[in-house]
Amino acid sequence: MRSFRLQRQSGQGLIEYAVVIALVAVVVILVLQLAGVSISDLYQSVVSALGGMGQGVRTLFATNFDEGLGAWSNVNWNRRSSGDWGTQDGLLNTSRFSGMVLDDFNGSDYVVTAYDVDMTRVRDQWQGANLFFRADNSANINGYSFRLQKPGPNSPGRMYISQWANGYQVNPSLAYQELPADFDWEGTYDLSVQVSGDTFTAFLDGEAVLTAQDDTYSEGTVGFFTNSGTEATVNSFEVTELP
Amino acid sequence: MGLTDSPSFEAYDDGELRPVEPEPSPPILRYVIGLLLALVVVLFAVMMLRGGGISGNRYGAISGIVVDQNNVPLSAEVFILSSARSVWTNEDGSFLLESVPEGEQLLLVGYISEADSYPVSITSGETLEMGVISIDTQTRETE
Repeated sequence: MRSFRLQRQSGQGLIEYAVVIALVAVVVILVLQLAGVSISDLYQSVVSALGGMGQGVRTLFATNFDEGLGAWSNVNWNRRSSGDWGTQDGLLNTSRFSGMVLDDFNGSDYVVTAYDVDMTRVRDQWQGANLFFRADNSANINGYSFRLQKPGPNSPGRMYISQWANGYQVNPSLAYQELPADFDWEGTYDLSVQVSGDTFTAFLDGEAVLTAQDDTYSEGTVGFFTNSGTEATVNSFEVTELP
Repeated sequence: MGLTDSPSFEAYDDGELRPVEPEPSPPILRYVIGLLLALVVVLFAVMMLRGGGISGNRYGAISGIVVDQNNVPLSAEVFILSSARSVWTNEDGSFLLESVPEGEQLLLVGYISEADSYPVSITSGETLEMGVISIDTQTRETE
């Protein structure tokens, strides 16, 4: 005789499946962190491999300076207070030996470009203009820069990518190259840096000129600054996602 | 048939007894959850140990003297990369930077616009003597 007895059938609830999935995700994240893998870099790699999440390159910030400098803050580079910057006729007008960084921006990977940087020599020493990237907005800046610099009339001009710490530019630089003797230090140039993971590629008028690697700072804002021998105007400034 | 085996009224479905279902298989999913929880605990413990959170604080110190290219004592700021703590040199150019985490660090000696970097290896409880650090002040951009 068969035994007939009510048996409540116990199954596995959806909540248990959800808990398992969540725990698997936590374990994966912990293992990746222990292995030193950056989750954000991994995600970006996946997105890039899939051809991006949308169409074209997204602009993260762009200005032709018609709206003024409300989005910017003076940066205390070289441990000195910044100069007198303004906008006129759609151009950023910078004073010498001073700089500004973009407020309310904090990115990891991007391309930052200053277009039509028109340099004017105000003295024979320390000419040039520069970009900040992955920088903070602290009283003494931390981050990176791409620099065009000519120390003096008898010194070769150079460009380099440097790290900044506690308001000091760290020596030695991450990448360095002398510029030709006929480089026009009162010319007009597009300065750009592609910031991707721990690799930085600097561009001058669209041509890649320097590459450096460093993993000290993983994110930060962007900015522009002048050397003590140069005043400059900038036509526009843009930050885009990586191509 | 014992009383415990007697079917209850609920066992009847439309007047017919429903057959007894076999015992369900062991809750494997719950074992998996338990295993994953244990794994999470272990991984967190490993992270804490690697980060030195459980092992305790281990620090050393760095000392030296900073001078310029003419051997004149310099007023320079000395710090470790990615550390908020810094010290300034004394009138004779000497410095003592304490509470430096053990292991490989980058010592930075800042003067005016730039900081020269020196990779150092710090041992817990010991002071690394850097000796004389010379900085060429003529290469620094000034206003």
